[in-house]
Amino acid sequence: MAEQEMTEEQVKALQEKLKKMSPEELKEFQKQQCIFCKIAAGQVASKKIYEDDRCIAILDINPANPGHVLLMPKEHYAIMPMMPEELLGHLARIAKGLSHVLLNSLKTEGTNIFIANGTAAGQRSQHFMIHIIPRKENDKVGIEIVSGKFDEKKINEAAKAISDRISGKELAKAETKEEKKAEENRKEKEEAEEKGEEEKKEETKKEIGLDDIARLFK
Amino acid sequence: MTDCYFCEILKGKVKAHKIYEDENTVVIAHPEPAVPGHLLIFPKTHHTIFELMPDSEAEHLFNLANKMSMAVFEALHAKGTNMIVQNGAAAGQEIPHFAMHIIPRNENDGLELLWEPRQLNEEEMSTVELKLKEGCKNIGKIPVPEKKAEAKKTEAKEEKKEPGKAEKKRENYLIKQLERMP
Repeated sequence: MAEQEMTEEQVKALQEKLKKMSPEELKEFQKQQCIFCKIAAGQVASKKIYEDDRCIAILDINPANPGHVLLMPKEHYAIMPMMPEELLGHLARIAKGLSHVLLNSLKTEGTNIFIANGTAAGQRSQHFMIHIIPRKENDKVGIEIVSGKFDEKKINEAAKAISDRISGKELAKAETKEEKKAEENRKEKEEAEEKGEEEKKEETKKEIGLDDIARLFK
Repeated sequence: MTDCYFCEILKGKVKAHKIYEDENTVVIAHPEPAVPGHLLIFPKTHHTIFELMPDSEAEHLFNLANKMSMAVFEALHAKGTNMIVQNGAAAGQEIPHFAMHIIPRNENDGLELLWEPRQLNEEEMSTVELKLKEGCKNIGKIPVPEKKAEAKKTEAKEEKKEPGKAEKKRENYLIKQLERMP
């Protein structure tokens, strides 16, 4: 979609309008703006290869490889966490089927299933989708997961933070917050000695909710 | 399977930082992560590739991946997550046991996971479209055994019908013959 230039006043008016909208109205508004909703509704032409009552699969017009498929729900969801479990399960099943078709029909040697949540992860559309990309040996498609070099301590801390979050220990965090702060301070000092930049990153970390992520796509 | 890294972890022969475990699935911290917080989700049953996984396991794994991704967002204050399956050696799969990567992302984190977009001509696109459309007709129809039973039933019905059809044909033939008579 070509973005039309708006005057500052128009932008302000739009922002005000968005603020006043109820979640339902907002969803409807996003839908109206979303190219993939139009494709799903058949209002915009696409190379559709699969469709059922809940989802649609089309060919990516700028594929990583010939046969690059985009699978998406017909209903508008900006990001994955907003989707109901049942629908996500359905997409998983269809993604598996599509991957199988790519292997069979195009004689590919493998597939990548790729999901991006948030612009930082490379999500470019405001409509949740699963990429299914056919792969061949040495095709030079740049989806490579390269191990980085990190301090083992850092790796373990991240892993612990995630498992704490999952096991609900997060709730009991309030008590240990002070301890953590002390620890963080110590860490920051250490990092500052090594790199000044690292510290900045720590500071810019803010609490980010799902709504904030979704908001990126308005 | 003895040589499978994930199966070894399940057996407790190889140490791993387990994040979560349920009846069917395990989540571990990647031992050599792309960034800290990089997770691996895999089914407990040894399936080499996605296609060999039962639907129910695939559904569960995707939903669990979604929850893990949310935990990554919240616990690490990540600005995004990537979920990647490397299905087959050509797609970068290194361990012959299906797994999904969950990678926390931040702006300018230095990770390069995106592809170079290509432009195909109309003919190439249409050829691929036709091939895939044909293949997609079978999605969701292959592994259901009940439907096969139904198919057999209908076949049986058709066989029963056939003698009837033959009779009708004969009747028609006779009628036609009658009509031809002067």
